[in-house]
Amino acid sequence: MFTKKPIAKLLKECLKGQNKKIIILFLTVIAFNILELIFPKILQVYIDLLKDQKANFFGIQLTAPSIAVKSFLWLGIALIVIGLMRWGITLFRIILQTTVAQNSLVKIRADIYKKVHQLNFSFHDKFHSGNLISNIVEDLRFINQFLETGLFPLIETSFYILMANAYLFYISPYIGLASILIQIIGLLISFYVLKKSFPILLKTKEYFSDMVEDFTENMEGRLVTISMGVNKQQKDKHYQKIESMHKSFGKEIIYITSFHQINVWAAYLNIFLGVSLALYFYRAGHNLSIGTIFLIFFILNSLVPRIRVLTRALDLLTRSIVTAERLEVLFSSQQTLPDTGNKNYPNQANLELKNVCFSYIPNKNVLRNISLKVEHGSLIGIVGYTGSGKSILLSLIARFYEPSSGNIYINEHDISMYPIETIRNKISLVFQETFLYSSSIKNNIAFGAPETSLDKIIEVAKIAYIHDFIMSLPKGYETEIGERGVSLSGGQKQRMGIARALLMKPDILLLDDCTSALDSHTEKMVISNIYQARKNSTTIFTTQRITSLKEVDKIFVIKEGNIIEQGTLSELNQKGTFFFDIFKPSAEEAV
Amino acid sequence: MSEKKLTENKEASTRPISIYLLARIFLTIGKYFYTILFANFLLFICLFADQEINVEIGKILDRTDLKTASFFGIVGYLGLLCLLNRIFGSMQFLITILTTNQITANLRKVFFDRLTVLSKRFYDNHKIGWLVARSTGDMGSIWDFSTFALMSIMLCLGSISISFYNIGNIKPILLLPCLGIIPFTFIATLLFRKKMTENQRELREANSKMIGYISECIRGIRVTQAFSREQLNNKIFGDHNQKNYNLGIQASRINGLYLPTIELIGVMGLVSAMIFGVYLIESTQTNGGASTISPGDLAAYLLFINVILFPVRILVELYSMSISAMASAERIYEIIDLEEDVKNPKISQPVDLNSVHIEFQNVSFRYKEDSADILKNFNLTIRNNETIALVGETGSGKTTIATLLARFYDVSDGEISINGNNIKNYNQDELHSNMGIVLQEGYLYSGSILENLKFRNPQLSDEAVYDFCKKLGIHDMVASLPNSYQTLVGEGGHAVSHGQRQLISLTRALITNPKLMIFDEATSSIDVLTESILTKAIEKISKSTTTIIIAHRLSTVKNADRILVIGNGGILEEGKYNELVAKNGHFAKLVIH
Repeated sequence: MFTKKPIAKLLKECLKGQNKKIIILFLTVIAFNILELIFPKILQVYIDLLKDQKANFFGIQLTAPSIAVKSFLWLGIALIVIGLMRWGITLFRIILQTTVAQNSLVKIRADIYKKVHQLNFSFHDKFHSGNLISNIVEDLRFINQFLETGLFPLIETSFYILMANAYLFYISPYIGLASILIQIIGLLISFYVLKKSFPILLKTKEYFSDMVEDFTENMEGRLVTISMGVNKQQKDKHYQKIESMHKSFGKEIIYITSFHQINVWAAYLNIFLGVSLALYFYRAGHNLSIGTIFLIFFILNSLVPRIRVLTRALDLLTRSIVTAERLEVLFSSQQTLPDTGNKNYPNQANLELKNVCFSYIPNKNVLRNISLKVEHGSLIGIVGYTGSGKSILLSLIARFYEPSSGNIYINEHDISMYPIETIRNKISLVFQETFLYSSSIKNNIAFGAPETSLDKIIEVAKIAYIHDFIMSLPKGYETEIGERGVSLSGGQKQRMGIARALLMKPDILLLDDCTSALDSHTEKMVISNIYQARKNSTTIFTTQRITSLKEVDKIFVIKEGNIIEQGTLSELNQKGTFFFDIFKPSAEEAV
Repeated sequence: MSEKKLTENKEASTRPISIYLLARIFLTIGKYFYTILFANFLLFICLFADQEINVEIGKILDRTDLKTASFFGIVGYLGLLCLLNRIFGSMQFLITILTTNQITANLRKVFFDRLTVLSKRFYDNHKIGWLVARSTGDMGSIWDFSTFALMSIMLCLGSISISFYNIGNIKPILLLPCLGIIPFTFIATLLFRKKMTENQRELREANSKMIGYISECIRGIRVTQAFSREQLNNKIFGDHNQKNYNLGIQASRINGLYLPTIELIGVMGLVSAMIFGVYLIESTQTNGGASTISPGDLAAYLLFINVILFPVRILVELYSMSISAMASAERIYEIIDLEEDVKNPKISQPVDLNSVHIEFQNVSFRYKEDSADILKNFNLTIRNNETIALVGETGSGKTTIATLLARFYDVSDGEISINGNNIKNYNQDELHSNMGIVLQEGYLYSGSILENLKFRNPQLSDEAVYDFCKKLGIHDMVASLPNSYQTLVGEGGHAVSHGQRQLISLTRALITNPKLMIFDEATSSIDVLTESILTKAIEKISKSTTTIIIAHRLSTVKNADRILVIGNGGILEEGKYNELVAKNGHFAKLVIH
């Protein structure tokens, strides 16, 4: 039912824990509106006293002996008192309102942030990060807007309209009835129009996401665009996306306008009819004063701006439905890694894979029946063709994905029996592409353990053979680097990534083609250093260079997701092996 | 303003709204000026009709023949006014929204246009999340503001001015109390202005920082999860979140005080108007004359004053909204106003790379004015169809040479020329479209492999693509993928392996047969066998092109015409492979391991 709809869930989540405040807000709004409605009543008394020298104030008969300031002064004072009360209530109301809105925002932002971080790699592979970011940004902005200019004005104006109509009904049942009827009919017709606008509304949101995705990609791929000289092509493409989005919105506008205008037309029809009826009853001799005609007009007239605000709020509310649905997709996503393990990580961890298969898409296996054993403390090399599955193999060992079938064992237990945090601490994977944060070099290397002392950081920087480079920079370890570590060369970034992982002193270190940007000399140093520093830990790395494999205990050769050969360097480096065929072209390089 | 990092200093947040900025926005509106003028005209008629209703009510209340005159005679005009009000009101509404839609579309285009001209240095210094926030958040805020707020502003100002006119019509002296409202409102606004502006700017700034952080976290999510840093990051985010909250609450305190105060001023104005009206009637009566103001007049008068009250309140709310929108506009225009670091010449040399002669003359390069020289007085000549290889230790400057030749940055000193012309005299796009530059990090746009291969020339036929891939020797590899050439590469090429990315990136660059090619570690992640196939193919192509290769893998540089060892800001050694090995110097050290 309605309560199950995403928008209801979103509202509930937003306003959770603020029930008391909301009730006080409702009461405040009612008090405010009462004052708003007494106000014109006093004006009515004013006019009746001017015209007929007598007036009726909720049953009390008032007279004014003459038209003189001193007889009317009390009216002015009454209005000032009401004005002051209104001042206080409005101040209170605005602060309360914003507090509720801000509390909701803080909560939603935190929820979204936390959820995104719980979702696993598979989720992030699927959802374009630029898209995800822009969606979240748009949605947050929207919720902000909705709470501040949508929800609360909605409540205020709805209350006012209800109370004003009730008041009209009290003054004259027929006029009240007519007013209510016209407004309801107007609302119904306009909602019908709004409902029709839904498909276009969705389409516009799609175009918008598309446009932002294209924008983000263009920003990320800036260098590629420049280097290919295709600036104009990309610009034209993006212009088209801008135009599509705005054209779709143009269509949406027709609906929005109709929705809005139907209600305003109804409001003016209401004014006309209300005043006409009032005059009719006056002429027919009903107990209506001239001032009352004024009062009726004043109230009906005051409904117009409220209806404008109301329709705008309703418009925002319907747009929020889309936002709510999108957030629902995020929140209901179950793609998290199960974390039910409780075993203690052993001192001597032997790694074993048994019949491990993995596929991103069902039926399209990237890894097929991988079985291998790695003894604790060994240095292992993994080689294979481009796209053979080396990276995903390492990702599985690091438990960023779960195998589609088969098991990964640390000693006698399946890897899922260990808490994820333990695995993250004990097994480090250095990705091919190093992502560095906008922060100092020191903070980036100490990313996993921010409290680490500088000398420990220097220690790992030396192993990764990057300490000298860092010291050559004017600010050394305090040098700020930008997102993605821009302004560092590929090799420098890679070594930073290695240092970062080394700092965690992982039991199993996985290096995914992390030396591809280094020259042979540097690479040799780095691997040798790592080997020396990690005699009692396991290190597994993938590489394209036969020269990196000199000191390894064992090599696994992967082709199309299968391990087709394994052995030592000398065993494999013989004619007839697949290994030999891969590296033949560089055989002359090996001394 | 140069492309240095846009500073966000505290002083800026207290500057008043710049008239210059308003004028800029006005200019962007440009060709829609007449449409907006027309819409305003319609709005004015609508408002006039609205006010006439008030006048009419006043007249009706004064009529002595209310019970006797013809019913339709009394209400007919009223009905007509309501109708007119709505017809013109609706037309105005529609036209205004459609126009602001167009205006925003144009602003988006101008913004993007600027971004496509800015060079690498800008992107080095600015986070993508920051830019996305500009293009969505700030753009959105300007749009919302211009659509509804602009209309409301016209509505309010129009209402107020017509009210004044009508009041003046009844009796000019009645304007006195109303005029009293204005200076008080003005003073109150001035008192609050500084605080409001500052708060709004700080709020947008904090919001932008928060979004920037979210953005960075999402892009680096794998690293965050790999290092189990979710909790710490959460705490940092919590700080951002809290800061935004605090500023939001601060805004509410300011608004909470400001808005009701303005309303109260309005009520005082109304009360003084009421009493003043009675006083006028009393004074003319005591002077013996018939009262010159009727109850109906006063009723109308009160309505007009009320008309002033509500718009004043809305205007004031809109004022703070406009500060926020102005802050956004500032941020958008900041970028639109940026000068590009690497400029295109006003008149450019035509690009003809059929024969290529490159000269580096005394070139020095440092990234920033105060940083060390990466290249010092560097000289190099590259002859037509030559294949040269640049090798050296990591960070020695080899990439810089390629970067400068590709003109991602301008040289700090000296000159690079192609065919006798300083490269600054060529149009960048034209030059680049004749070159084949393959970078180490091959970013792929989301789409299929085929679409990516056609990136430089979407007009290519599928067969032409397959033929080229066959020529390079990679056709079989691509065709054997589950979806063959239709395989989707994902964001940035994430769905394919690093090596596959490099393969596609390389093929993409070469498919248009450029005559000048630069390879920067273009095959570092590709397996040796595939790479050797590629190398053979590229060597064949290189025979009729000028090629610069930067690589660590020496198998790729063995057959270069010349190998240069780069270090210490210049060339350490130069020669053919065998010569250099025999020399037993820098190069030999790199080779022998």
